[in-house]
Order: sequence, then structure tokens, then C-alpha cells
Amino acid sequence: MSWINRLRGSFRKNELGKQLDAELQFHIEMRTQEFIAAGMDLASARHRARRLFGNQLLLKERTREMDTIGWIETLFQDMRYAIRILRKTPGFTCVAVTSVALGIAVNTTIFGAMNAVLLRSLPYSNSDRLVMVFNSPLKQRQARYGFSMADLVHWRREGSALEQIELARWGAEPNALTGAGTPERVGVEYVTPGLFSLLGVTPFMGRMPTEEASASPDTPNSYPGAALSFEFWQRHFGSDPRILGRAFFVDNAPATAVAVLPRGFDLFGGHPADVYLLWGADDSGVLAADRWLAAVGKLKPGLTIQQAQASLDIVARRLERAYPDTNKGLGVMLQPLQDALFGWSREVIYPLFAAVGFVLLIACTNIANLLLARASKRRKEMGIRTALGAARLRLIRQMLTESMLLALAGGILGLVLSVWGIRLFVMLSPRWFPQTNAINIDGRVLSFTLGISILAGIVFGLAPALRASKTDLNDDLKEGGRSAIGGARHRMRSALVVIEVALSLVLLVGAGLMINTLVRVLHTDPGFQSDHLMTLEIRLIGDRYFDISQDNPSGLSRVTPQVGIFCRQLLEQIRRLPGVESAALTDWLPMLEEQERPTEGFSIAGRTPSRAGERTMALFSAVSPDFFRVMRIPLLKGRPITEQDVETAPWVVVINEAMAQAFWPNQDPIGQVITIHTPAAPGEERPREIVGVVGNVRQFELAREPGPEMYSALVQQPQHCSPGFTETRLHKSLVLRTAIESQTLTDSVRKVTAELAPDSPVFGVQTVRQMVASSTTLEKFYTQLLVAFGAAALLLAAVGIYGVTSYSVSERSHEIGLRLALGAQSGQVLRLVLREGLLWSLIGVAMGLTASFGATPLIANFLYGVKAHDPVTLVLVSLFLITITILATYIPAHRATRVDPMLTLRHE
Amino acid sequence: MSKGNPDVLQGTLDLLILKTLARGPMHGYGIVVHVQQVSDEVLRVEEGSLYPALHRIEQAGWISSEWGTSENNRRAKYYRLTAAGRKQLVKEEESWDRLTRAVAKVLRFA
Repeated sequence: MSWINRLRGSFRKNELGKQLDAELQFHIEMRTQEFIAAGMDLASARHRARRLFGNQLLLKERTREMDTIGWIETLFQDMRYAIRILRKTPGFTCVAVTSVALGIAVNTTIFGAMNAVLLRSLPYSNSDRLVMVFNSPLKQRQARYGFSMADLVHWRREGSALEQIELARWGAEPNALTGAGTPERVGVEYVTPGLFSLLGVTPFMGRMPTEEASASPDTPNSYPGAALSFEFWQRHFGSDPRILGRAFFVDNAPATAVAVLPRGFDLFGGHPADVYLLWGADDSGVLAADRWLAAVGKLKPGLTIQQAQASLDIVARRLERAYPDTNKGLGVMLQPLQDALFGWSREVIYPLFAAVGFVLLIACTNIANLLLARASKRRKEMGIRTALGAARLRLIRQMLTESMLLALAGGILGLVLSVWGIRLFVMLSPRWFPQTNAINIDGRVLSFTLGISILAGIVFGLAPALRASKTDLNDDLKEGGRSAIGGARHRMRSALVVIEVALSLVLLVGAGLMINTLVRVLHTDPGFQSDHLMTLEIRLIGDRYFDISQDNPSGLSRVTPQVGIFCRQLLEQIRRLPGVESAALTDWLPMLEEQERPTEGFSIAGRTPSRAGERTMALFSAVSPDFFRVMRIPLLKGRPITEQDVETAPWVVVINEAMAQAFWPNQDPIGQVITIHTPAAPGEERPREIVGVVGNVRQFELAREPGPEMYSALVQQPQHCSPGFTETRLHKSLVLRTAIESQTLTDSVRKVTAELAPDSPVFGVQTVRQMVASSTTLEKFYTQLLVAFGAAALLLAAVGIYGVTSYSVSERSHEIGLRLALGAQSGQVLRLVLREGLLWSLIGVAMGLTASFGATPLIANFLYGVKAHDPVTLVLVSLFLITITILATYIPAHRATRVDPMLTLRHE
Repeated sequence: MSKGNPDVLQGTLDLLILKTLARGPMHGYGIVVHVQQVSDEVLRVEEGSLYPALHRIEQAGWISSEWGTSENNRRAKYYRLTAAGRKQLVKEEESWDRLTRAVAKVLRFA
């Protein structure tokens, strides 16, 4: 391998040189002896021997070239020279390296996040073969429905393109774990036991039961196996080595620990569950046809996703014919698992990527400007080098080596900074942001950083290098060198400033829109008064409240009257606590995290049920009588729920304004009768009369418009309902209006609850204000990031404008001196310089505004209350930026007025 | 000629060096002397071209070098033909033959 030899040679030049010397020395001596033998004296013999070699230096040089790689040597030379030059101007080097580092750090951070979520494959074996399987209506292929147990059974039988297919619920839900130590609220995920083998995950301990040995979700009184997460096993069971076989209850249902999962297992890379309950597939239960589960499949080896899709399409048509009731018009859709899980996060990450890209571009523009300014100072140096025979390409290479060195130094510093950047990103990111634990600097991130560093080096180095190498010997070597080229250089620098201003404006518009959004969101009236309001959650546990064994004809379970009694007693005792002004209970509290609030359908008496296109659906919650008063939700019409609305009284309902407007736009809704379609035993849900209308409440987050909603009394509810609905009714949120928000109050509430319902855990204690605030995490996250990027851009742009203006002032000091000497007033000079700065920034702002029209739609999804082209934001941001540029110009402009005319004249 | 190098003289120099080394390991001076003697003083290898050529041929892998001791007990760098060099020599000899025959034909024709 010749080039390896030569590469090695390049690094041991000295040694090679010595060897060559010795080799030549030998030759010369042999010749000398030859000449002496021919009769010459020693001195002339040696002289003649040497002369045979001609120019010995050149010979050595040419020989050495054979043993080394020329460009590497030149590179070393260039680098040594570049380091020397950079060390001579520490200020410039510092500013340049820091700017690049800043740009690289933000890019590395965002790329790190993208890498963890979108690029790195899932930590499962054969992750490229894993797919999510959706039901998808043939008429609306982009819609995605979940899977039912029955679907699973059918697809396992028919879907031969899938090696294996398993189910999971979509993410963990909070359930109460009792019967083993202190009751605790745990995240519970339901899966079919084969899911772990599909993913290639072997348990840390124990083993997964077979499908047949696992209970089905709606077999009453069954004991499903439970796989515990490693972390939960450590936390709750103290890493008990004899955990296998331990029994406990999950929301009243018994379960047995059969396995402990490996450390760090996180099924869907969101927030890991504590307990995985193992279900067998069963297509005979009540819930068998409900499509609420996520199906994960593994493609047969060698099949592409398209081939599998084509093969499954045929199966889907077969199933459609076989099960017309459930499968008519239904197709199937495969999506790579990673894409199905995290594909949505592109929408969050890409705009951020665009923003950090801008920051880096601005940093590059800045450095290009500084380099240009410096290049004109080095004109003489370049002139001398050209005069001594340096080729233009050689000069460009020298300059590029310098900028590359700057870029790489910045890249390394940026990488170090990005470690903090990633920590900050994780800290700021909303809870739902996936894979935050997995964001780190791996090989791919490193190559990305190296890549953009090099790219940045070329971007900011090329223009100055080309400029600098274009030397006009005559001009450059002249002392003083005020050249005609100066004008062109100056124009180029001004153009760069314009670009910088334009880029900054786009970023600032983004930041401005987000600030605007956040302010609007925070000032949105949630529909209730959140101060001095505390909340906690109670999960009722035990046979007293919940009963699945008695008269159980169709898998429905029974909520006992004890629930109503508990609620009444609890409220009575709580109201007596000192510091409590009022208290109420509800099964759904607005803006409580982690809840998937179902909407219920209803029919209106006297109207034909669900006319085409009319969706009679509304959010539904059951509340205690004082609820509206405690929450300060205004009553607009009629009456609220009262103590008189007991089980035996006629059933009533209170609706919100949105519901009144949606379904009775020109009518009085009071007195209308509706029937809610709760999943209850037939006949148990009674028609309800609308007795009141209350104000709208933001149910999910501040930034979402409220929809129709209805409230019933806690006690006016059917007894027998589906298990899922029963769970809802055993889960209560307590809201307290208090004189003070204090911890002692929480303790007394816990005590009262523990006395009334000993096994039922109390959790999620927080003030409602905290709860409302945490519903705005996305807006805050985006605002913080964009403001940070905008600020960085602004700082860089200001430094750039300042630098260019001061340089132009120092270049023109001669002209300014002359003007002053000829009688110009300092105010005129000030205006002269300011006018130029203002001109650049105006052009920049105009370009930036145009660009922002293209860029802001990227973040349109995150905006609330403002349009992507909000004129007020655009104007304010533009004015702000122009002010900053004027300030940055003012300092050097002011300095220009101080030029001493005498000095200038003398210099001439 | 060799590796499409248009420089006839350089190709010739390579051929002379390889052919000389085919007799056994030799140092630079030895090569010069040998070529001079064998060609009856007609061909003289220039020192200025010899060493760059030797180092280039060595990098090409046709010859290898090692330090040894000369007849008069001095340290000298000896070059030795490698297996690849032997093949190269055959090729270069053939192409040299072709060239000289072609030149001879042209001369006869004129």
C-alpha cells in the first residue's frame, strides 16, 4: 500500500531526511574515491562529486516528494501558520469560535433530540420489521382505528405476512395497586403476553405465561399474570427476590406477579408503565368487538412493508366478507412502528431545526464578515506572498485552513456546550415529549456535529478566501493601500449584514408569535376561578363499592350505593375542616393530566335520533351539588344540581353554553329532555331534563376551545355498567376552596379519607393553579426555545452590524476627517454613518418580512389567538430590530465624529 | 510505456534500474557504475534523476530497500527487486522491445 507508506512518511519527515542524507553521502564518498583513484586531490574530487548532483536541495526535495504525500505536508504547514495567525488575534479568534460554538451547540442539541426520537432505531431486535397494524376505512385511508380482540384472533389466523401480531393498550393508565404494602397509584399497561417475545425482550426474572394460560380482559374473577417493570420492582417491592407468585390487586382486580422486566424497558418510549397485565386474546367477551387496542406486528423476514400490505389487503377483503357486521368497508394499514409512535413529533422538531439552522447561518455570516474585514487588513501579506510566487489556489487553501480550524474549534466547544444544551432541553420539554431519557451524544450526533462544523467552515470561509486571494499586486503592496477593491469588499460586507438582519427578523418573528401566543393562553379565562382551589384524587377500592360477582348477566359490573354514601359523608366531614370554605366532588376534573375524557352520545326527546351529519355527542361528568359554586363556574340560566337531586327524584342534567348553542341555537334548552347513552344495563339510564345552563370550561388545555358538555348528579347514575365506566365512577376528584393553600390541610383530608375508606389511595394533590399552568407546557416550551434562539440571533446580528460599521468608519476615517476639516458639522457626520446603517437594516427587515411569510406557517399549529402573519407582531418585531441595529450603528458613528481632522490631514 | 507514462526517458531509467537490480541487491552508486560500464560508457544515469526514481519505484512496490554494508565497509542503502518488480521488468522489457523494433522499422522504411 503505497499511500499508507507515504502517509506514514509524511509524519516521519525528519527521519527520512536523515536517511536520504546518509544515502547521498555514501554516493558522494564513493565518487570521491573514484576521482582520487583517477588522480585528483581530495578537495577537488569531493567538489566534483558534489557537483554531479547539481542542486542538492532540489534533488532532496524531489526525492522526498516520492516518499510523502505532498498535500498533507502543506496542510501541516498551513495549520501551523493558521494557528500562529489566530493566536496573534485572540479577540477575533474568541468571538469567532464562540459564535460558531453557539450555533453548533443549538444544532447539536436539537439534532440529538431528533436522533433519539426519529433516527435511532427502537431498542428491540429486528426493529426494522416491527410495524403497527391499524384498521383503516377503505373510503378514508388516512384514518387510523385501533384493534379489537376479535380482530387479533382473525388476523392471527389469516394474516400470514405477519410472523407475529400482539396487542397493547395505548400507553399506561393510572390505576390503584393494593394488597401489597402501601396502596400506590401505578401506571398500568395491558398487553398480550407474546408482545415481549415479539420485541425480543427477555424478562430479567420469571417468564411470560402462554397465551392460553392468560386471562381475558372481560372474564370475571380471573387472575391475570403481571410483569413488573424493573424500576417498580425495586421501588415498591424493594427488589424482593421472591416476588414471583406474589398476588396483589389492580383497581380491585386480583393479579399475580409472573415476571420482572429488564431494567429500562419502556414499551412505547413514552413513559414506562409500572405493571404490565397480561391478557389472552379472546373473541367471545363483551368488549371483543371494541377497537381500542394497539396492534404491533412483526413482518415475515424478507418481506417489505409494501409486500406485506398488499398481502394483508387481500386478507382484509376476505375478513370483510366473513364478518360483514364488524368489518364492512374496513381495510388494514401497516406503518413502521417507530413512525407510528413518534412520527408526529416531526411537527414539533422540524420548526426547531429550522430555527437553529438560522442561528448557525447568522453565526456564519457574522464570522464571514469578520474574516472579510480582517482579509482587507491582510491584503499586504497576501500581496507579498503572491509576489513571492504563491499560487492563488494556494492562498485560498491557506485561508480555508484558517476558517476550518476556527470551525472545528467552534465545533468542539459547541459539542461541550451541547451537553448542557441537551440537559436544558430535557428540563424544558413537556412531559409528553417522547424519549427524553434517550437523548444523548452518540456516533450519529458526533458525525452530524463534525459535518456541520466543516460545512460552517466552508460557508463562512469561502467568500473571504476568494476575496482575499484576488490580489492586485500594485495596489496591495503600496503603503496605505486605499484601493478600489475596498468598495467591492464593503458592498459584500453590507450584503452580509443585510442577510444577518433578515435571518434574525425571521427568528424574532417566530419568537414574537410564540410570546404572543403564550400571553394569550395565560390570559385565557379557563371558565372557573383557579386560585385558592386545591384538588386531589381518590380511587375507591374494595367490595363495598364495586361488585362484579352478583347478578352478572353480560359482563357488566355493579357500583354499589355505598359510593354515594361515601361521597356524602366525605364532603360533610371535609367541609368541617378548618380552612376549608367549600368542597365538591367530580369524576372528571378539567385539565387534569393523563386523562382521556370520553364523550358520550345522547339523544334529544322529540327529535329523530342523529340526523345525518349531526353529532349529538358531549363530554359528560357527574358532580356533587356544590361543584359549580366551588369552582365558581357561572350559572347562566335555570338552576344548578342541588341536594334535592337524589337517586329517586326525577333525573336532571345541567349543560354548558356551548352545548346549548350547538343543539338549541334558537331555543330555550331548559325543560328539554335528553337520554345519555352510557354503557349501562338496558333501562337503567333514565331520561334527564335539562334544568340549567352554565358557562363553558376549558376542559383539556387553555389553548383549546371548549366543546359541548353536560353534568349530572353523582347519585343519579345507573348501577350496572361496563367495567371501564365503573372505573370512572370509582375515581373521584375532590376540589376544595380554601382560605390558604397549605400542606396541613392535605394531611387532614387524607386522614378523613382513610377513616371512611381504608384501602383507597389518595394521590395527585396539587393546587388547581398548578394544574392549569401545566396545561400550557407546549406553548411555554416553544416560547422558551424560540426566544432563546431569537435572542442569540439578535446578539449575533448586533455584533455583526457593530463590527461592520466600526470597520467602515475606520476605513473612512480619512474621508470623514477631510469632511470635518472642510467644515462639516459632527451632526452631519453622525447622520451620514447612521443613514448607511439604517439603510442596511431596512433592506434586511424587508427581506426578513418576506422570508417570514414563508417560515411562520411552520409553527402555525402551535399558535393560539394569533395568525402566522399577525401584523402587530410583524410591526413590533421589525421596529425592535431596527432600534437594535441603530443602537449598534450609533456607537461607531459617534466615534466617527471624534475623528481629529488635523491627524487625517497630516497623514496625507 | 510503464503505467501509461509518456516520458520515454523516465521509463527507460526505470527499465535500467530494474534490469540492474535483477542481478542482485545494489546501492545507488553501484547502479550508476554498472549502467555506465555495461553500456560502454554510452549511458550515464544522472544522480539528480536516480534518487527520485529509486524512491518512486520503491513506493510503487517494485523494489525494496534495506541498509547494509558496502565492499569498503560503509553503511549503504541497498535496493532489491521484489516479485512485483520482476513482473514489471518483464513488461517493461517487452514494451522496450516493441518500441525499438518500431523505431527500427521506421528507420528502414525511410
